[in-house]
Amino acid sequence: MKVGEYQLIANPTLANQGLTVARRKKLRRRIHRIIINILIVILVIFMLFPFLWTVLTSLKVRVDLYDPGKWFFRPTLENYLKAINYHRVLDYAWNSFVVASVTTIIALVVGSLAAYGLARFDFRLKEKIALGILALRMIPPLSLVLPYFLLGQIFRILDTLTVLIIAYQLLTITFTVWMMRGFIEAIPKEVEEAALLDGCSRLGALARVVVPMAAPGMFATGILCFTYAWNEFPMALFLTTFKARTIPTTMMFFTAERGVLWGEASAVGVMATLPILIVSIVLQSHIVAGLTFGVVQSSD
Amino acid sequence: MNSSGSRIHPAVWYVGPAVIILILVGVVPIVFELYASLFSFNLGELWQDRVYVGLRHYVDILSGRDPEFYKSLFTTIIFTVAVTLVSFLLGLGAAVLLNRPLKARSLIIASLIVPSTITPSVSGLIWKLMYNRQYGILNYFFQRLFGKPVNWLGPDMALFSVTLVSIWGATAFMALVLSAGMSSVPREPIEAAMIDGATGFQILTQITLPIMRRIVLVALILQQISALHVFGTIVVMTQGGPGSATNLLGLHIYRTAFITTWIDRGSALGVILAVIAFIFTMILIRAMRKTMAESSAF
Repeated sequence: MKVGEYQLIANPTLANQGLTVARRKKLRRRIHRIIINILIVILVIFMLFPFLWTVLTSLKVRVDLYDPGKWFFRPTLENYLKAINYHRVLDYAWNSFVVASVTTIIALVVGSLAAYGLARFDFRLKEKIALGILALRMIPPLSLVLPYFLLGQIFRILDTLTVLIIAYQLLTITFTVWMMRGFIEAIPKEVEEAALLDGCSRLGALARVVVPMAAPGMFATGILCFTYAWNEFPMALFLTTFKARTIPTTMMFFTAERGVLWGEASAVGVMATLPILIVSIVLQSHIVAGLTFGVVQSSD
Repeated sequence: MNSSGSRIHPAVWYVGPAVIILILVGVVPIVFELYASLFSFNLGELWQDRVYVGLRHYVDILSGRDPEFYKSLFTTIIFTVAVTLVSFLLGLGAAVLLNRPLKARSLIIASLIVPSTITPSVSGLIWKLMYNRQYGILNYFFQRLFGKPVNWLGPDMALFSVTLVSIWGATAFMALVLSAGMSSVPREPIEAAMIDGATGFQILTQITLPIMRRIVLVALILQQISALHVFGTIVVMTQGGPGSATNLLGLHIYRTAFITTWIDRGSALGVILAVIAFIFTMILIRAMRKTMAESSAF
């Protein structure tokens, strides 16, 4: 190739020159594409490797853990059994599931009603309320955890699932209002007005017309509310101790620098994240719309 | 619409419940924290036994009598700015890569979803495992490439290492946001520039980014605020240490209130952190208002 090209350049007739330029362009485009593919592979590895490495670690027996470079080994489920038997992971996962489900249902009902109100009515304080809701969402969790702890102590509700469900409403309701307002505004008013003319009440029209049309958006919102409540860490760490403990706080069992049971820790980590990861990857288009919402308004 | 003076506006029935709940779970706790920060009492003491001390905690914190505060503030600034800027640049790079027809697009998007939806405390554990000095995978490679291991979570490297973990998550978010933003940029000006022979870099900096500048601004401020929220990953990795190397404001609140047991001073720190976040939120709201005004002008 190279030799041929050199000869062509050394013999510059017009025709040959044209051929060389075309060939060079082609070559450059091919190199360009290869570089892009390499960069994409690096990106995907950077994003995926940490989790895949943890899955690998969770399947290793103790001796193999001391050799990080051992890629091929006889996998074992021992760490998972230990995590379930000694660390009560299934109990905590159940707590997480209950808290996340109840939180999501409340947030979807209360938040969607508010979103509907903001999308369909005109009133004086409307934009102020919408922005106030946004501002509440931005309060750092560590600013809220102490008052919640003190109030929880005063009202004697620490270490209950209830206190977590209450504490999670701030983020899930504010998120639902912002998400659902956009989805409801995208539904043409005329459809609803037709239902109202047919004798439906406002709430009836909301239930029969708006909810079915906003269902995909509502579903994505619900998944992200569930994910937040499932993942939430600081509130769960300080407001619960034993009975109402959720799965993310079990990571605190493994914070010691020495003597960490890496195999068991990884198994707990995989069990804590896998359900959420599978759901979000399967439903990726909805999730991406949710994750990027508020930033990219024009994206549907 | 049908607001007939004396009757309650119908919107109240829809918006009211959310507003009441949000006041109870958001405004009341912050006001209570402000109130609690004016008293003296430790973790474990009874709330009834508190003693009023006025603004003493704020004076102590801001006058430097809490030696960790300004250091923690400084660490927070370095951390949040580094996470925001680096994740923006990497995310922009990723968005440019993805801004073309690709066969494996859904696999790539899936790989971006993992860091953005993973449980933060679990990602702390995962990276702690990779950073481990003896058995971590990073030192396995470093040992082979450079002949000596790195003390990733030691005093010198810890802040860099925990920042890298947050960059990992934030880059995925930025890539998703920016690539969604890029796909909504009109094709015509880009094609015109291509015919004029502009390079990809010129098109990016002189056409694409100016068109999406509001999206970029909002994404940057949102990322800056969410970097202020980071807690779980760092608690699991370093607990704010070694010493106070990774002691961000959130961790400083945790250590003051629950380890030193000064929950009163912790409350004052909580109020200060909320004020800092509020300032960024005001900037965000201004940016978003302008975005909305511009997009409705189209």
